[in-house]
Amino acid sequence: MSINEVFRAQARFQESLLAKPNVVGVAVGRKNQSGELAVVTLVEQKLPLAALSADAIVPKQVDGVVTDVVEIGYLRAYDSPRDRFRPTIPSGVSIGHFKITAGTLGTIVTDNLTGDKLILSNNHVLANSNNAQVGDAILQPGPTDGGQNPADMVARLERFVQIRFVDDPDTPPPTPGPTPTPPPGGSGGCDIVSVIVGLTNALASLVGSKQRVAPSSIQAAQGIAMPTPVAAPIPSAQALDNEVDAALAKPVDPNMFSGQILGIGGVSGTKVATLGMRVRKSGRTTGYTEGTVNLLNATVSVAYGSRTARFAGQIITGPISQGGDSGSLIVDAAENKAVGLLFAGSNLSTIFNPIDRVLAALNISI
Amino acid sequence: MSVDEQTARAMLVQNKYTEALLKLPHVVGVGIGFVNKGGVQTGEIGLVVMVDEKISAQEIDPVDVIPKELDGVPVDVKAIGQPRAF
Repeated sequence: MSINEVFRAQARFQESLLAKPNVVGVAVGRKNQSGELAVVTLVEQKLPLAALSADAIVPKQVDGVVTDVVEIGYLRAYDSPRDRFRPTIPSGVSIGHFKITAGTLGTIVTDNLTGDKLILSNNHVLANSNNAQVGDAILQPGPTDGGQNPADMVARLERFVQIRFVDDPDTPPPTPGPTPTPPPGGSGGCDIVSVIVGLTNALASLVGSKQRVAPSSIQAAQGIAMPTPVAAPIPSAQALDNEVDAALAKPVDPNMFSGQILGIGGVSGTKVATLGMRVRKSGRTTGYTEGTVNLLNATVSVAYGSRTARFAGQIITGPISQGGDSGSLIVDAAENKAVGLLFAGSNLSTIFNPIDRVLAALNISI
Repeated sequence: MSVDEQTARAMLVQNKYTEALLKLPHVVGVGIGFVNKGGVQTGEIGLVVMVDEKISAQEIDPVDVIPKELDGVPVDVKAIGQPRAF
């Protein structure tokens, strides 16, 4: 039997085969058992003959050509990480504060204080590079991918680590920053804010972190109005070094988020980056990519539009990302352990924060 | 020297010279990594100075040339373009 005879049989019977329930496609291939050329009917689900009505059964032959039935499941266009995902939202997809373009939903983390499930990404993705209010709408997909406010609001900004910009009068004071004084007649709530800031900073100093959670972000997280801390004297360049570009959002419905990163799956635990380590990520723009850690402990100047921020203690791989991949979780390629939080890059590099600094700065677990 | 010892030694030198290196033209970052010589990795860990683009030493003011070695630690120059928030 020539293949052209099989094609002719397919052409004659294709429409009647596609009209049968459960059939999603027709093709030419080799029959599984005999290996002879066959007209192959693709079905969503293979069912026993007894469960089928007479007209649903695929004939054993069409025009003398054998047939085969292959189960391939439900067919759909491949999901793009820029799509709107409902009812379940995986990680590694487009997300963003309502005033930005789009970034990547890194992963779902646990708040050490409350046990809440929260969304981890960058400050510049969820908190518009410090220009945001706690409670602001977070859209999936991000605005540039068609996310509408409020129809696509899936979370609200919970808290973020302030980015200190070079030559920025709005930059918060370097540490140790002044503890904000509670307003006269301040409620117990303000004392709690001071305690939280103190604890977080004590924790940061324990792990040798230069990063501090700015009091303003905590107070905002608590929804308490407090006076803005007064700007400190001109900080030295070193005092301006950032360690993380990180923020959290609280899901409107935590059950909507699967916690599975597209193409990677679930991640738990962390691993410290080493030179030569193979890592991977799944992001909004370039999807799943792999790379190798080639620089550690890097101090780098990073452009944020017209502003610049300096980061210390960073990890660098070759180019495995582009704009819009910010917020992707960097995962060890051997085990599903978190290594870092992607936030920047160039045409020749991808730059990410070490994950332990991100977890400490935001008081979260992974 | 083990990888850890080489890394520790390079970090000491990094702490000492990062501020000065970041002031040089075209320098965008300083990190720790494997050093390349003539495009080949030597297996040695040293200081890696990241620049937006490589410029030949002749075109730069001699005081702005990145040294090949600092306090005995090899220094490599790597062009990475201008880093920006993604």
